[in-house]
Amino acid sequence: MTVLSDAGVGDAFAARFPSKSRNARRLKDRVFMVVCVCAATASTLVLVTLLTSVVVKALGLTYTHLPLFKQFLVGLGIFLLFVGGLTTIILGIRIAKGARGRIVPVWLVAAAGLLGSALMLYLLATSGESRNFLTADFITSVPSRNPEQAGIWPAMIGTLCVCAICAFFAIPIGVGTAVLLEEYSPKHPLLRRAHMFVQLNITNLAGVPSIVYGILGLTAFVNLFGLIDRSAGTVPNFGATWYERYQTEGGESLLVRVEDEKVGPPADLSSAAFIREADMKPIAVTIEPEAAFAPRRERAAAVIGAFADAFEAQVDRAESLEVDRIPEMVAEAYRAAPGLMVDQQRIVTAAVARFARADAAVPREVRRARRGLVNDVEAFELHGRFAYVLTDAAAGFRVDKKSPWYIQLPFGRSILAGGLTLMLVILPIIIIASQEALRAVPRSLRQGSMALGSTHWQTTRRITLPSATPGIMTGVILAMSRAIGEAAPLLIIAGIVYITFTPQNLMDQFTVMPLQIFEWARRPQQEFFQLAAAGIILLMSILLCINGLAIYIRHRMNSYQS
Amino acid sequence: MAEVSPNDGGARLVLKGRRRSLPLRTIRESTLLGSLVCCGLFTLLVTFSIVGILIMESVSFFRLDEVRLTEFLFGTEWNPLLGAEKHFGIWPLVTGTLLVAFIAMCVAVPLGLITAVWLSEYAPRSVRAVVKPTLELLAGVPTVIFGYFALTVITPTLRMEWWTDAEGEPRNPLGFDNYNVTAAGLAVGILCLPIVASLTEDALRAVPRSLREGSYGLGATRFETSWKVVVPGAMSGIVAAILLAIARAVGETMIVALAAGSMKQLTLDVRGSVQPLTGYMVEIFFGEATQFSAEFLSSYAVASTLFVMTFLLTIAGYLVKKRFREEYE
Repeated sequence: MTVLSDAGVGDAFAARFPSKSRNARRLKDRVFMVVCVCAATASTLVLVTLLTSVVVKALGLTYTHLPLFKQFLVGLGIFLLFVGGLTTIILGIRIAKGARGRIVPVWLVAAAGLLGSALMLYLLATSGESRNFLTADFITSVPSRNPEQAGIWPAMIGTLCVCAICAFFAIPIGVGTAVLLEEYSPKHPLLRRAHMFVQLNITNLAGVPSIVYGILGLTAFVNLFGLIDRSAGTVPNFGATWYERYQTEGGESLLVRVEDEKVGPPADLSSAAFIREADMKPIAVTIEPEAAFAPRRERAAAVIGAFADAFEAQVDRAESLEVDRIPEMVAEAYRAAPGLMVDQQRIVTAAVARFARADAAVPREVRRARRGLVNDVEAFELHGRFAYVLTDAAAGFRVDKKSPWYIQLPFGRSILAGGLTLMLVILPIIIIASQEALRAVPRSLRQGSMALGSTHWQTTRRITLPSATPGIMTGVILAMSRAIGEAAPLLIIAGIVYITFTPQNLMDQFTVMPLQIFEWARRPQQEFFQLAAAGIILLMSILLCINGLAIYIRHRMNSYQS
Repeated sequence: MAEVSPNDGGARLVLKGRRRSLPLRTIRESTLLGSLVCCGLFTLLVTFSIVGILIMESVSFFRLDEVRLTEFLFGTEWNPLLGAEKHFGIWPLVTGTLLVAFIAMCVAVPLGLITAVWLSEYAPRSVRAVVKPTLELLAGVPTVIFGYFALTVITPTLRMEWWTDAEGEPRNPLGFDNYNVTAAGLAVGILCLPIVASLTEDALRAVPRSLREGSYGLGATRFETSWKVVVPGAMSGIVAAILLAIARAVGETMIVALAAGSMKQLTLDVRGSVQPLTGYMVEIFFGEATQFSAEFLSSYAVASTLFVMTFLLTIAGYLVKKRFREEYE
């Protein structure tokens, strides 16, 4: 590279610019301006196309089949919305900065936004039978095989939980490291070298692909380096309460608390304290001698047996067993014997045998149903009404109520493991941003504090950190927006699971919005593409709000300091 | 925000802090320093765990009977899932990664450079105040969205799906597959564009004003100043920015998992599907490969390759940038 010292500039120029006509040089200058404008236009067009494609898909407009003028209107509407949104942000920044004089007239922004929305609404109203997926139902319902009913609620809550855990761990560690690197520079040459090494290490960590962090998380958090032997049966866990579940004839579930996962049910049920599962409140129950109900018990067994026979026959008769029908058949079995637990085991065994004959894979629902086996019948009095209780001694009917802070080791494919992995991904980002914020604090502030006799930590705690807080906050918010959009490491941690519930505790399985979008976008059906588009719009709106906040904080900070 | 004014700052500071005996204070200080050092050591631990895990699992991969290290390093066939005989030659996957990165850089470098020069040298202040935050906003867009974009817009455009024959089938004059490297590469390029532009603009603005003024004083036009004085002056920063962008493109996962397909073939034909390293890892972890099987362990070897590639790029970028920092200080 040419070194341009002050004295050498003239010489360098003489060498670099052979004599050319003035016009030719000017022309070059102009041409470059045109190139710049073209590049800017191209980038804008790409952006507008991106937005258009997503919005069009989400609103269910069959874009290419619209008449040409409507296609043009869609483009125009989205462009206006885009311009309106962007101008609003800029306006916000300028107002935040305390700008005076000529700012973009507010009514122009409002008009652009309104016109854009009106156009979109018009198109939505006139676009025929296609379905709009971006509705309130989409936000509040759970994923489904049927695209018409699918929603993104569990993924949204999953994102929220994972990001909360991630922030909880990443912010203290990240800011702590930044303070160590910026405020405590050691004097000893060996320590200084270690200091440099940590700095270099963070630069390196920032460049590590996020999927590699996923692999680290899989080994470190999901499997805990293989330190805990899971073959022993139960794993170490804290925060769960175990119950034995009983089913009454009326279909009510009653629970009796037991010591832990492995201990059997209380030997004498007559002294047990029952809890109604629906509201988790104690309930008065009198246990009657079992012998008195022998005839009814036999009847129950007969009903169960008859049903299972019928089911087996039905399965055998069927020309081709529809895989999707099996869970439905099991459900029918429940309905057919009202108030009684059906002998699931027999049904499931029949189904599995049928699948084996057809060389088909056993669906997950059937595998899950295989667990329970009704093998004991007891009776007791409930609110003056006699009821059958079908006890189940198999492990499948042991239920656990887990507190939100329930923890088991290793963490498994849980929210906690996901949050910790995400923490690793955004840690370097937070560290680098906090370092920059700390570096921007004037030295004089620190020197003043030190001169007044405060210690190193007091200076950091009371002078440096508060001054750097806006910068650190901006960095943290930008890092969190990265965490919200990150999918690759969580793909390894969580896998693609079909989650239809919101997580209840730290050890629950989860999914996040980008993963849900990825899952929908992989499917071949157009409807799922539209769902993915609706999810993207939701994700983008959340991110836009968060980023807007970061920009606002930074501009406030800038105007505050100047 | 705490401020120390010259008049009462000292008194306030002394009064604010509760008085403590000196040993207690020292203990407190060293405890806090200790916890900060722990934070620092944690980042080191992260790196060492990554390296340790990758090395250990890769070693157990190479210990398997069907795997040979020479085949892994020089082999041109990678088919761990299909066929009777499994082959583990890394080159098809590396080719996929390099193709995606190359196509991405073809988009991101020229456009990013022009944008940066325009922002730093040409654009009025108000425009820059708008465009710079917008670029950073763009850099934060989740990559899965770009993947979706590649799949639903870029691929149909490349295949020219609006141009159909009599049966309604697309003519596809350029012969692009449904999943192809070009679409993934272009999307990664759009992803890298704001990174290149933003970092390059920072580098350009770090060039001292005096150089520009000297150039203008000698009668150079704006174009000549920017391309013959400022850009060469910021060259190491620009190179560092490009290296970082390449590292990002190499490690990009969701776009290639969605758009690049899963053909593991050694080819330079950008119209077909060539699976990159990251795409293969997603395929393995996504599917239910049994743990400790060869194909599952192979993903660790692939991850090691990926890690080495990005590590070299990051370190190269760091060294180049360090040189650039020393230049004007």
